[in-house]
Amino acid sequence: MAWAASQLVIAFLFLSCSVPASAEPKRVLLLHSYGRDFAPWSEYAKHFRAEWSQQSNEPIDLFETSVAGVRFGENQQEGPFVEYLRVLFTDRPPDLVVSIGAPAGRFFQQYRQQLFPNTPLLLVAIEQRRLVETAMTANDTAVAGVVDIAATISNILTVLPETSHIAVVIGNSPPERFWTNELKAMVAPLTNRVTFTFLNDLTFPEMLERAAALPPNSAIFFAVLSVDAAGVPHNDNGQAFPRLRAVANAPIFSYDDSQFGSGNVGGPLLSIRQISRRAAEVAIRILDGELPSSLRPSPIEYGPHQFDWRELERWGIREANLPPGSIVEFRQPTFWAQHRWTVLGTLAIVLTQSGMIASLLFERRRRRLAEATSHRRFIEMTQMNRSLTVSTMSSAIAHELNQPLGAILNNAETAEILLANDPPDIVQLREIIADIRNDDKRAGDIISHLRKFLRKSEIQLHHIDINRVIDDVRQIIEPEAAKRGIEIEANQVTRPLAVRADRVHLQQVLLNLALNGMDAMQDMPNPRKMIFQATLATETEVEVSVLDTGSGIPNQKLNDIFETFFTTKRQGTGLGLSIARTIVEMYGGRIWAENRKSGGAAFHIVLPLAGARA
Amino acid sequence: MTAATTIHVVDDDVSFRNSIARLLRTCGYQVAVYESGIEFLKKLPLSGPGCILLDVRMPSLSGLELQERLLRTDIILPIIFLTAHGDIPASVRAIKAGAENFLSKPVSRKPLLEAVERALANYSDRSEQLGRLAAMRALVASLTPRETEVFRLIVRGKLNKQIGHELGTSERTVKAHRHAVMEKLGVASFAEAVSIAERLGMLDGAESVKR
Repeated sequence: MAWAASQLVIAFLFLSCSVPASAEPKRVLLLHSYGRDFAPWSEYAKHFRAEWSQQSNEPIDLFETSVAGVRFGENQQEGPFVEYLRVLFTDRPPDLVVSIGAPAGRFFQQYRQQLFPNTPLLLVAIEQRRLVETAMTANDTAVAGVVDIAATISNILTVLPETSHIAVVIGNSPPERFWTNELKAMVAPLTNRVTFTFLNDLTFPEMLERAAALPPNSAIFFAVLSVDAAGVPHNDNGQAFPRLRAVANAPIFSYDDSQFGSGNVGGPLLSIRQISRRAAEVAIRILDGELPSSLRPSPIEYGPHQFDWRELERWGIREANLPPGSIVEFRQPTFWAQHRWTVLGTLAIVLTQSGMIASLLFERRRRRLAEATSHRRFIEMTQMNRSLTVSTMSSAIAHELNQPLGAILNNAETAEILLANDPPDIVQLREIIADIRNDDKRAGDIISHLRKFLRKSEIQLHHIDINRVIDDVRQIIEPEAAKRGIEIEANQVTRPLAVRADRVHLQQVLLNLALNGMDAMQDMPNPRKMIFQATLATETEVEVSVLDTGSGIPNQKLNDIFETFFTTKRQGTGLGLSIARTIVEMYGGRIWAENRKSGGAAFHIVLPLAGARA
Repeated sequence: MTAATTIHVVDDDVSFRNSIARLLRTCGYQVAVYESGIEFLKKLPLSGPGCILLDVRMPSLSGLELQERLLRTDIILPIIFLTAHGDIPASVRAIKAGAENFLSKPVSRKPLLEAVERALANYSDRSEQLGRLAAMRALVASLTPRETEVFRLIVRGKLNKQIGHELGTSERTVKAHRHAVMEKLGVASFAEAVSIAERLGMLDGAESVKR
């Protein structure tokens, strides 16, 4: 009753606000079949209104109302409603009546003469077989749809070939009863393959129960649900379908696209929008003055096959089963696809980080090892090499000291003899004493030289004359060289060749090279010769070379020999040349080896000249 | 050069060289000094008795090498090695090569002079020996070819008869040759003849001169 009251209020407003006919917008009566918001017809109306405002700027006066009979039962008296409408439009009949759904259309055609005999009628949202040809006048036209049940069922069986059972959801209002019979007739030929269960005799809750417990290989065909077997309408605001979908254990198919995207698996569908658009076109043309009978658009048929990807996924429908040319909508990338770049990006970052951490750890370890090694090597440099040299030097030392000591002894004994004479030979004695003093000093020099060499002193940088270093080293190795029958030659320039370095370091370098050279000449025939050369290579560089007459170095090993622990000698430590290189490079110099044309090896060192601008 | 006994000192360390020369001269020896083996070789041939004081380690020509070279000459002066660092291998090598002695610096007067004296005495013996050998060689060289053949077979213990058979002469001829050999060589017994042959190395089939 409240509904009727509100309609009366609206009607009153209309009546009290009458304006001159010429300035008034066109009046359109939109007549629903089950109620304004009853699905799926509400969709038609919605799109119709939207399309109309898109297609025309002309304002219209749109009045929506609904017949009640279908909804409220067949025994509903339609008289009062007819009267209501007539009164509503007394002063001015509508310029167009648009009926949504067959019941509304049939109503108007039935009561047209009592209501608005001259008003054109546009039937919308009506299936073509529901159009009664005989009732169509020149003032009627329709935008009908074609529901091809066979195509719909065939679609179900195509995409789900194992389907053996189809449950048909359909209500019990008169139109729905019509359709139930239609459907039953249409599916009869298929019943040997598929079992059809019509749920029209169930209340909606019962239908829901059934839908939740369908046997395997079932599908649901949602035809229409307006009023169930208990007489309860269920589709205001379109609730029926979602409620069904929530509980159904089988895929749901339908014939129109009202639920496409909300649970309809898909297939060939009637496009509500298309129908509505066409209807709006026609309506506008009628209002512009065209005769409805001249506007008889052909019924709209199913559109191309469409499918909801999510439903396909849900029900395990393989895309391969879809008919060719099918459009798959609502594709959702999988988590992977959707977040692929995020995942990959994250993975990449994680991997990169792990990689960086790993490489940093590795680097740290390497650095620690390298530091330890270099520290060790430094210690070796200052100690081990010296002790190596010391052992070589021990015979050098012995020899060195024994010379002056021997001389002193001889002289002392000579002096003794001379003193026994009478008179003693003073001149000779004086010579003897002088010689003794010289030899003593010589011995002292040797000792202090040795002590300096052995002392773990800090590195002292001085301007060291390379020539003197050569002399030092030569002195050290001479006994060893003589023992081995090696001749030593030194070619030095007269001018001092100063290098800013620690004297001991330079001695070590040359000593190591010399020892190396002597070892190389071990098994060589005579003459065995070692040559020291020192010269000013360029304006700013001093070059020192140590040449031997050994067997030379294999060409591919000319670099390797400077590597730590590279040795070809059974008793070799492999440290001498690498220590030499470390020292030379420490002072900004270079060291390399080459083979002499005349046989044997040549080691060259270049060091910056002290005081020269590099 | 006079035939006076000369000690030859070869040492490149000037201080030591001078001091030892001074000492030896003070003790009454004639001393000649050389600063290297090469210098010494330049002064050959030497005459007169003496010995060589040779430093082992020297550049260019070590003491041992010099010794080797001298062996190839007919210098029979004994060599006393001096070394500043007394290593065993060098000394063993030296002795094996026939060095007289091996002294290490510093060396005091007594062992030095003892070594020198012994060396000089050895030299006399040796030169005497060599002289005798030379004389013997000369005597053997004075034999006629036939006599030489007979001598060779005699010292091998062959009987006259066998010798005659081998040489294709009569026993009587052999006896005559035998007599001549004994006389020329100045030996009275068969044993002495054998001794000569042995000294001259004729018994091992090769002439060798033992120094």
